[in-house]
Amino acid sequence: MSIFLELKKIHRTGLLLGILAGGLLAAAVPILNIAARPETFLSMQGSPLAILISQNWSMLGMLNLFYLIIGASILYHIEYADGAMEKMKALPLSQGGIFAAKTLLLWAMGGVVLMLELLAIGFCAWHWFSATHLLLSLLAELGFQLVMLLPACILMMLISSLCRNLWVTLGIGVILLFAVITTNTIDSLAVQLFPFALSLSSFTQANTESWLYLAAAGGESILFGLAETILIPARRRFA
Amino acid sequence: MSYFSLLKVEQIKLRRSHIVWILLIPVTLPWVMNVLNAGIHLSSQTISPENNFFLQSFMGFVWLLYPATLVVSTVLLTQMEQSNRGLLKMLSLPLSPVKLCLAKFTVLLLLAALQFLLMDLLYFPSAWLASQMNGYQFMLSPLLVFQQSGMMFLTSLPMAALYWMIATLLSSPVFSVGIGLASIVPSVLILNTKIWYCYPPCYSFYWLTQLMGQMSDPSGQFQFQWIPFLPVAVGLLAVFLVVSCLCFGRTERRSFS
Repeated sequence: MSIFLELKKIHRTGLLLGILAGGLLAAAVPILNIAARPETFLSMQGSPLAILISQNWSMLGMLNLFYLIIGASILYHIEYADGAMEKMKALPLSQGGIFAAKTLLLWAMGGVVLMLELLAIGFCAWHWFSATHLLLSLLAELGFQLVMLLPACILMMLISSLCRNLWVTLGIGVILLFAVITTNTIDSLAVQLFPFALSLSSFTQANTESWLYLAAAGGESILFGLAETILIPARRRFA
Repeated sequence: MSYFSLLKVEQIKLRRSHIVWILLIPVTLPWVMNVLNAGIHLSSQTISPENNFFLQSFMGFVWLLYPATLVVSTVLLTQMEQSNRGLLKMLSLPLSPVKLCLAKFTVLLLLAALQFLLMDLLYFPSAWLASQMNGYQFMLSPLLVFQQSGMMFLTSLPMAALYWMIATLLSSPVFSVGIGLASIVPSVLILNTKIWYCYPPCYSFYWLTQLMGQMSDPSGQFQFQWIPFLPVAVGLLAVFLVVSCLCFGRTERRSFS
């Protein structure tokens, strides 16, 4: 129920439109990338999807994380901006429930963006590589990416729920993203399993180690979820 | 109110936000990473290790962190006024909105210059530390460091004006931040096209790549093409500034008329 309420709230911020526009923009990246230099792509070794994802996912993953950072910042900013948070605390509403609804909404928006991006990648594979029977592998990638996105969603919402000012949340998000992107070049599995770094990996590249990524994403999600349940009463006491 | 007293007011406002602390992290981060990994520069073939040490840190900064912190700073400068209808009160005072807009843009540039200055100041201890750790002299001449980072700052001015214009045009932070952050990602692609000078967010990065090309091949000439770039950049800077000055406080005026 309260997820619909959250949906209604963000209706006026333009977030839904922004996410949709952002998703379309991200979907244009792989198409433009291959349209500009099709020979380079076609001469590469590997399956069409593997080529397309390895060439584009570093950019797409980064865009996804940017959208996630903005979405998370806005979702709590609307509560802090005009003191709505204080009013909500006075109502018989569970803070954890609000957090869960907002996080789910953010996750769903991330899902829409992922879907658009993978559709574009599927289109590229079909159009340029004339590949067929893509549906199953695209769905597997979508499911994998959704799980990879979850810890980043919860972590960003956690930060957003703690910071009163929009720019603080945005700043911390951008810094985390940068830290992950610079460390991601280090060839170590532990580094790849950081919350934001997970979204930069892909199912086709992870293949045998994908269970490890899934386990890491699940574990981190539980960890951040628990952290929020501890922090809600703490925030109430000190704020 | 004169421009300088407005500038002073803006600085007082800024002191109460915690932005300077947030800006400190992005400038230390590239150096920490770089000092820890300084060893890999020793094995680079095409470019000398000390040049690579300098370039790698600035690359991460100029490509991603600096534009992103600029976007965050524009959010700070506009949001600070939107909470509690601050801008509406400012506009009701006998002061010129254009001057106020320019004062805020100057503060944005001051924050940007501060970041480059901190990057430069952190370069020397980082290079010293890396030299001590690896037994190789990583230090470059201070003149080169200041000169090149100064040029990167100057080439980034149109980008700052672009982000400032977006922030003043769009009152919804979703779109201003979204466009700003999303514009960073494709700069890597646009950099390699012939029309790179039409895309302000890649100017400083382009400068850096040209510097890198020159450093890896010292006999070659510095291939920065001033001619289509300089008029386009100056023109865009002027257009962005004029538009942002004209549209400054537009939503606030409209909502009560």
